[in-house]
Amino acid sequence: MINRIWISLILVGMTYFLISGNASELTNLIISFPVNVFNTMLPIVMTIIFWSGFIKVAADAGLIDKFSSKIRWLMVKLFPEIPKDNKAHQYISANFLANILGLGSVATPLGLKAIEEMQRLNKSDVASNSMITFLLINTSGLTLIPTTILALRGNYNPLVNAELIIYIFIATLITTLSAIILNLVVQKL
Amino acid sequence: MNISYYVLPLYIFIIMLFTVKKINAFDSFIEGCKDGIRLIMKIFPVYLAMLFAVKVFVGSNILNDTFQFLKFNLINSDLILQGIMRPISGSASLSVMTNIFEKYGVDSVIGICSSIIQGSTDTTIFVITLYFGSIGVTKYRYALKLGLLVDLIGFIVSLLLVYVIML
Repeated sequence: MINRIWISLILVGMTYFLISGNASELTNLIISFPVNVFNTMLPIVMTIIFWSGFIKVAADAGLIDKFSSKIRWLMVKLFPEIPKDNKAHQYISANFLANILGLGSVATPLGLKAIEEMQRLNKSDVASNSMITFLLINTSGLTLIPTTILALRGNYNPLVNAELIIYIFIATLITTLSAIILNLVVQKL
Repeated sequence: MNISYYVLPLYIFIIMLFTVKKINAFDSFIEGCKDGIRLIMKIFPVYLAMLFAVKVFVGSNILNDTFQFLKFNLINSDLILQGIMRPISGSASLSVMTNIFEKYGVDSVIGICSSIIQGSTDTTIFVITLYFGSIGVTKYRYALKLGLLVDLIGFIVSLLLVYVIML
């Protein structure tokens, strides 16, 4: 699946580059790619490592456990495959909370820990139901305050901004709910 | 807006408060960072591979050129371009959004619709491949198809929402 997507993106892109006569641009892109990745990736890498540190502190202090126990009923409903007191539940709940609060830098390491724990139960190269549920909720973009969008809009002196938070919240709530419902339907089939 | 400036400090403050006398917070932090480095080692190659493909595909301007030719009567073609970019690349769809702000105005129907489209979904293809890649899962089953379907729902919901608000 991913192999085919990867190859098609590269082949289609390169072909279009060449037929539109932009071979020099393509060459520049290829040459500068590793350096650009270094520049864009370094802040992300450092942020993930830094927050992994605090996440571990919070986990060792029992904070994540404390929080996740409050929404355990929801976790058990959404992820019936995962045993009740598994660590995966804790990381998933913490990841959802971080996403809702708009803390992307905290959410990513939590999410990676969560799926790592799920793989420990799955032990195969086929995605498990709970992994798919988790990723679908994650990619449906549930958040309270869309900071990036608001900041970008801010450059254009918008009149509508506070209301927009509500509209986006409604839209993302609908996508998240439809992700959960559609996923349930497909898993039942 | 200003509340957002308190979230991260408060988060660290609460963590620190809870650890007092309970655990060796310093050692835990170091262990956590090591864990983080291990996570990075797992996702970095996947990230590198995907980013290259996305850069080549988006950089070739094939999507932009295609949607300049096609004219849609029902839906603005810039919005469709953004909707197609959104699951592939966060930065590319953000730049389509800023183009829309400049072209139509930030408070125009299309500008607001574009903001909602951006906010209602995520970089589905990128996120799914990154997470699965980090644990060595190669068979995604229906994850991508359903993820993209949800993105399509988000797109339609955004249009309908703007229709209800504005008209």
